[in-house]
Amino acid sequence: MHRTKQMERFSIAYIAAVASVAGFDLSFPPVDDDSIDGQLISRGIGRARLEFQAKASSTCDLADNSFSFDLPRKNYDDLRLGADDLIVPRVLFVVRMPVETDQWTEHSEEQMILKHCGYWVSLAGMPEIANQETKRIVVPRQNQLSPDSLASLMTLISQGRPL
Amino acid sequence: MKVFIRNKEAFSELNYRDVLAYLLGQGWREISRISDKATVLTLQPSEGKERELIVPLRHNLGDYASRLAEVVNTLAEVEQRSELTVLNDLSVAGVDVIRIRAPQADKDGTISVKKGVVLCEQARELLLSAACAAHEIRPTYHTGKVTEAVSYLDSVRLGQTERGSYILTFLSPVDPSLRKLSSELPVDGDKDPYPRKVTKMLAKGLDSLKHALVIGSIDAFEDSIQQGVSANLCDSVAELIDQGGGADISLTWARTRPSGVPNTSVCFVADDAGLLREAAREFRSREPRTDLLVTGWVNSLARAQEDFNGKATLKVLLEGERRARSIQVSFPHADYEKVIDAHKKKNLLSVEGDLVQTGQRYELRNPRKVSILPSEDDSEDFGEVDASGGEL
Repeated sequence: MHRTKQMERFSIAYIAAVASVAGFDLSFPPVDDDSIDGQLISRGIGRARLEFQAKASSTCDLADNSFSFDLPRKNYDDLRLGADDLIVPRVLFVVRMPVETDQWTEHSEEQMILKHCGYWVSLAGMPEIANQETKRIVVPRQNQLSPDSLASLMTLISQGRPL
Repeated sequence: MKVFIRNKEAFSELNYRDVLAYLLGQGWREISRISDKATVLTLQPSEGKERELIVPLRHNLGDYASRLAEVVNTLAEVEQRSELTVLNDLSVAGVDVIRIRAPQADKDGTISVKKGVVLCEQARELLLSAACAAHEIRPTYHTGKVTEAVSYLDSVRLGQTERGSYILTFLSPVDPSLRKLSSELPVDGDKDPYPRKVTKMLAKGLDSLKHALVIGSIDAFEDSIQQGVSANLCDSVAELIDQGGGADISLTWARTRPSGVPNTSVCFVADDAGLLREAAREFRSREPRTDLLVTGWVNSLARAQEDFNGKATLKVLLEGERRARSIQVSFPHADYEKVIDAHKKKNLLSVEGDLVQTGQRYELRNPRKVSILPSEDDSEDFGEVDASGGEL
């Protein structure tokens, strides 16, 4: 499998693991969509939904409070649509992993560790960019993607509040 | 064969109103709204868990196509059909669909270009005749002169041909009903928009035409004129039969506007074409010649002068004919004196009206502009002679 595909699959696996612990369904779009990799749905009728794009990176350097990630312009434009323009909110998940593939997981009979960490960031309402092929996204380190943070996001969505 | 659609753009063209009408018609019920952006519907199928769908309520949403893709995907699963079939049904939820099938198409569902062109043209004439009938019932039409009918045809779309012999589809858009689709109130046809009146007239006309063919008499065809049958309809169906080796014509109503009548399907066989053309000829031969000015003699009055009731028989030589014809006329009261005078003095009378032929009988309806033509000075005449030829 090509490395890019491996990274993509690993990031989805990370998100799926977090979602399953949080108790959310994970589905994949029935049509080809460059900017949406999946959808999370809370349980019960009238459920909150969240669409995401998953990115993987093994090269972003951690600063004190954040790290940066370059997002292709098309993805940026699709993810920055605000509440008035979307029925289902969108968010960017970035999963940061080690450079070496064999270090992505640690496995024993006791536990399975996925490295390093996933993060979330909402681009809703961000300004249009001109003459740029990519947009540098600043991802706050506090926005770690965990079962608790994911549950909080879904709660905000069900209340109609911004992410 | 189940087909799954992967191209998001296939869903961008769907009309959310049509989708909503379809879902409501299939038993889905609305449970909540997401502001002005979307509505949430649920369905409890006979088997399996309760299902939920989100339907957009406006086009200008970034995830419009994605949400409708989910609708199609879910419907395909719930209804056990391919996504392609579901998408097709949703695409036509807001139109009345007219399908014309050529039974004798080749096994691969194709026909020659020549026949295909004629089929399209005659299908257009078929719709045009129904549109004219929806405007005004008549046995024949100069179709190009009925403005409303011509305008209607501009709105009709040629749909994609369907598999199953060679099938032409025509899509006639119709405004959705504002009433709840689950309403049990009867449909009031008088309130139908014109496009729906046209398709209903077509359905009625085709049914009546088939009935008249079974009976096989000109009277049966004449009785069907009030149901929308015309010379134009007869001719177009006859031509469709000739090109397709028969013609199977069906109509399905838009789900967004219940019609109150079942879907229609009528089949014509090759032998029907001759009788249809004969009926068309009869209709045309009896078409009133309107605004016709005739000149002739008042041959007889229906009653004596003192009891005259306006009814008289004129002897008239019509243009293009070699023998004078007797024409019945019911004159208005204002013209009684002129008619009596013309009859008495054997003067020529001219009158304008609408000439109608019923069988061998001719009648001039709506007589107007009655005038007695001045005769020449009688002294110019030759003198009267006795039986032997001698001058009196």
